[in-house]
Amino acid sequence: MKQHFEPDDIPQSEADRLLDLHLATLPRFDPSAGFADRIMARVSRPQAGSVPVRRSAARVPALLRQPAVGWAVAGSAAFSSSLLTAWAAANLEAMWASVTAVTLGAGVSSWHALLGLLAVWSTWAGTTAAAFLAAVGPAPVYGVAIATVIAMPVSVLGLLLALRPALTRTRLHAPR
Amino acid sequence: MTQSWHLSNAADRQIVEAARAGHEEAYRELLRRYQRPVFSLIYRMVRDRELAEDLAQDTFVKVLNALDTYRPEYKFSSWIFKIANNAAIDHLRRRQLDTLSLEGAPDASTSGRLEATQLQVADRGESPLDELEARELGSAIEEAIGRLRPEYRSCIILRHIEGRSYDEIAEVLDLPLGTVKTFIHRARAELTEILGPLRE
Repeated sequence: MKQHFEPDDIPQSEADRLLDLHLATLPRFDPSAGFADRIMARVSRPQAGSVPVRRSAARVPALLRQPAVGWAVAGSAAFSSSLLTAWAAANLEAMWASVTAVTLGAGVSSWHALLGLLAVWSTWAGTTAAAFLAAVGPAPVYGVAIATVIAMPVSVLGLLLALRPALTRTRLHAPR
Repeated sequence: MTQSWHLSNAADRQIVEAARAGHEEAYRELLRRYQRPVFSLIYRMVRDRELAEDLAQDTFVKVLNALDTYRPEYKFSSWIFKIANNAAIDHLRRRQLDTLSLEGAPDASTSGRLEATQLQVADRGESPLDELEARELGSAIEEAIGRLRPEYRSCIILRHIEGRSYDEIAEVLDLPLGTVKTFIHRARAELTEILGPLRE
């Protein structure tokens, strides 16, 4: 099983294979009995059944935690919301002529609800503002215009806040 | 279906969630999963069983008391290995124990201390002759790993004994991926040189 040889006796790939073989034989070691109990005695855990404090990052869907996806979603949301606002402002008269304010309000609210779904939290503020102003504003057409202008930045801000963990990814933190 | 059955099949992240909610079984499941890998990593780094137990305990206490700060976008294993490795490296820096041999720490002044710092190579249940050869081989490899500088040692242990990916090792050690690959390459070259007289 064991014999002497010089490192140059065998090709590098064979030496690598042997090294892998040797390393693979190494076992893991067990700590002494009662190890887990000694640790549990030093751990302060919350009461079972209590609602844990969740960090905002944990509530962002896993896919959105990927920086590339996060940037893509945030960028798309900002771009499409800006377009929607500009388009709504430019075509307010035509829109008023063809659709009712209620339908427009519902469309804007739905769009921001979709953003809200993506951002998971916070965007509801923009959607709520849009729906409220569309419903009870001084005149439906002005309400929708104001709501759209207010809802867009609020929604995008909410989305960026929700995606912040992905967009500002930092190193793995170790407690001291 | 019991909760322990459920936990033993759950992903680390789910168990951490359960632990955050205060379930003791979840804490114990994390301990059950990681006590051997964490203890082995630290033991191979500091090469003193008693000290390794202390450092491993401190590692788990830190981890389990700081579960609220764990960021689920990282692997739990990366997090706990990082804390364990930091504990071992910090100790080595303090004590300058980075070149120990299997025969015990060079600064051991008593026979008890010498025995405590010997790395015990596990019995794998083979025939006496095979066992002897395996122990010799195991001892030689352990000694060779012990002669590596700590950064190389961490890389080799995480890669070849714990089977972690290069990416995860880079995360654990806070090193660029290229540096990790270089360290492993150099460490393997050193091990091959040290283990030259051994063959299958």
